[in-house]
Amino acid sequence: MDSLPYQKIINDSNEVEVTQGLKWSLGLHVGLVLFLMLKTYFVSNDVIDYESAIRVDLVGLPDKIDPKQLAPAEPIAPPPKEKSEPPPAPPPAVEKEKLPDKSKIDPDSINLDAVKKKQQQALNKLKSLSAIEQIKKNLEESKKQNEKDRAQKAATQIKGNILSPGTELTGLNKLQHENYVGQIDRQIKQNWSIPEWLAKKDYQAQVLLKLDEKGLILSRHIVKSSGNANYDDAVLETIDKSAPYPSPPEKLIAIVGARGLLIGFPE
Amino acid sequence: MKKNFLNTTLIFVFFAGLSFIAKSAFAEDSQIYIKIGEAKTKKSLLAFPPFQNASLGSANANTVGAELFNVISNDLSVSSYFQFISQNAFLEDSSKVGLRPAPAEPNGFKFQSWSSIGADFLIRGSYSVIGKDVELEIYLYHVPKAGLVFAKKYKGTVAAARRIAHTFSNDVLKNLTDKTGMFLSRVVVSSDRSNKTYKEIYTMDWDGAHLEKVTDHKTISLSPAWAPDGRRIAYTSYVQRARTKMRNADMFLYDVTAGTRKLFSYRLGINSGASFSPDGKFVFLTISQGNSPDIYKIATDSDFVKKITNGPNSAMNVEPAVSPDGKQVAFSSDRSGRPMIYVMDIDGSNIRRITFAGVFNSSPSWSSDGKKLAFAGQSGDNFDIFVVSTDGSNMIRLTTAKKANGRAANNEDPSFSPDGRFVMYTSNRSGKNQIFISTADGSEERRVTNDSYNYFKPKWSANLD
Repeated sequence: MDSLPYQKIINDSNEVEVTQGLKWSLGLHVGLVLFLMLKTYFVSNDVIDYESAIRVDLVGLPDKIDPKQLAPAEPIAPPPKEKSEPPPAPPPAVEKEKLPDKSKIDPDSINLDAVKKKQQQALNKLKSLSAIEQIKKNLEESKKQNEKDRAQKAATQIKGNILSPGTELTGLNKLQHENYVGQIDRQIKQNWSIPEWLAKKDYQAQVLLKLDEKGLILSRHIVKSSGNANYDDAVLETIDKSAPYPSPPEKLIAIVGARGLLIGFPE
Repeated sequence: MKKNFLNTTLIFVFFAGLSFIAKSAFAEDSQIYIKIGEAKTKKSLLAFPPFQNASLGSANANTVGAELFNVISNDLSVSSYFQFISQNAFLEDSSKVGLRPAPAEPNGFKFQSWSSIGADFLIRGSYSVIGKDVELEIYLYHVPKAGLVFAKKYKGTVAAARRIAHTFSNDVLKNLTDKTGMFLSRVVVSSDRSNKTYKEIYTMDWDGAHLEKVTDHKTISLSPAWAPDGRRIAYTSYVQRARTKMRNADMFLYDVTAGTRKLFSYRLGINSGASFSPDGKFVFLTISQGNSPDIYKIATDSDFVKKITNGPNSAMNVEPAVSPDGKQVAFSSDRSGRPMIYVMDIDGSNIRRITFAGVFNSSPSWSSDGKKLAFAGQSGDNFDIFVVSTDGSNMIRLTTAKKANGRAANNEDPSFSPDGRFVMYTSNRSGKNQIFISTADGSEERRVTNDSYNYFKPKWSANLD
């Protein structure tokens, strides 16, 4: 207990030092954070690797819609659809037919109402369908974008394993990569057909396709079989028929050659 | 100051570490994944050279061979899976080379001759007629794979040549799609073939061959229906009653194998529009009994009778069609003011309206998977055939034909094929009520009968053995 005053003095002087240190520390931290934040606006690249890497990943998602929308997945409408108009609604004129029992005109009005309702329903259905379509598309796009971004990131890593200048994922490169994947997608889609006797059976197959730097097939094989040999054959035939593929952009050569592209028929 | 520097350094290290972890985490599952979407469909190119005649000088051999060939050609063409390669394009004379491929068989055919003209499939066959019997040896090859799909020998009497051909066609579809075709099915129909003022009941192959007369009542006989096993036919006829000399729309049951018939339902008024339950033990039919017609369920081998529908407000409920699983009945009713298609549970409960469009919808027929209904719908002045999902969605039109004078033809009384891929109906586009079939998606339409008679209410059977 007799050591108390001494201790207190020491504590006091320590406290002063500690608070001062805290202030400094806080100030520097805030300054650092501000510096880092502001720097990204004024200096685009180069200085801090990790910063640009993280930033690109977060910004990448929402950006990419355009090139995809130019090449929307065209659903192949079954031929009969052209003819498919349901019998037109009964013309209002029919009301004349039933003039005698106007007091009990229910049948017609019910019918008209039903028809109007039906039309409205059809309209609503169409609207919601197109809305769903849009959502689906967006989802798919953001998903694809995500995948591509990851692919790009992986590409960077494989390429150097040294933290590169951090400039990889800027707009131009991203566009290139999207274009590349989009091109492959379109090229295969053009050749993707199956005999009619295989249609409407819900078969699904996935192929792993590896390409060299010129876009020639290194290997392709079924990684997920449909369970039907004819369907799997049609898938591989489609892959072969679609070659040669565009040469991958430099950043993707490694990934397309080593990991390959996973391609789903139909998904 | 040293501490602060240390802090700053620590933060740097921390962020650097974080970013590295983040990067490697993303690298882990980086895989470019492309969904190609639904495929376009195409017909397979089929090379079908004439059969070889291996008979030893039988007089009618050529006729039999031609019949086999023509029936198979027609079947496979109707299947809508194949496009035939013109025989002019063939590079190989199939009468001079064997039925099997070359390296294995010394004088065999060459796949090269067929792959170079783009064939996907090749059928090679030979037949021999010995007395009253015919044998067909036939091979189906997949040309791009240079492989055999299947080979078979069919034997039977010359009279059964068409059956042999249909059996092979069914086997082709079974091998490619895992689903048997409908080529061994028959049709029961009412027609004025024998006399313009009468209508009698007939059966025939789905392609119009092998016509057989079922009734000879010399009156109006109509609305026939198959029992699921094809051994009985229910129909309605205005036969004059022996004692009272009156004529009423009574229902008969005809036993196809025994050739016998019995009076089945004879309540005063209409007894018509039969539809068997899948087990064949009950018939659903329309009975009017002097009032508005309603649907009844009657046992074929007991006294069981039950009224299934009731009004409302003396609305008519007619044309029952029992679903393939036996759990539902489709019918038409004017309870909403106009005749529309409805579906109810087998006991008459849970009535749902299926169609809302048009002014008159009638004659529902179930697809074999129970997912679709075909019906005749009137929009303007004429009836056309439509197919709709049983929830009322996806309505498509199958017919649009016009008569010679440019006016729309009537297309009526649809009936789904046993494999659910086709719909049969009558059409008066030629001036007479003739039988037509269409693919269930409306993409291809064909005429089945080609004569100057009228046909009414054809009903498609299951494949019959």
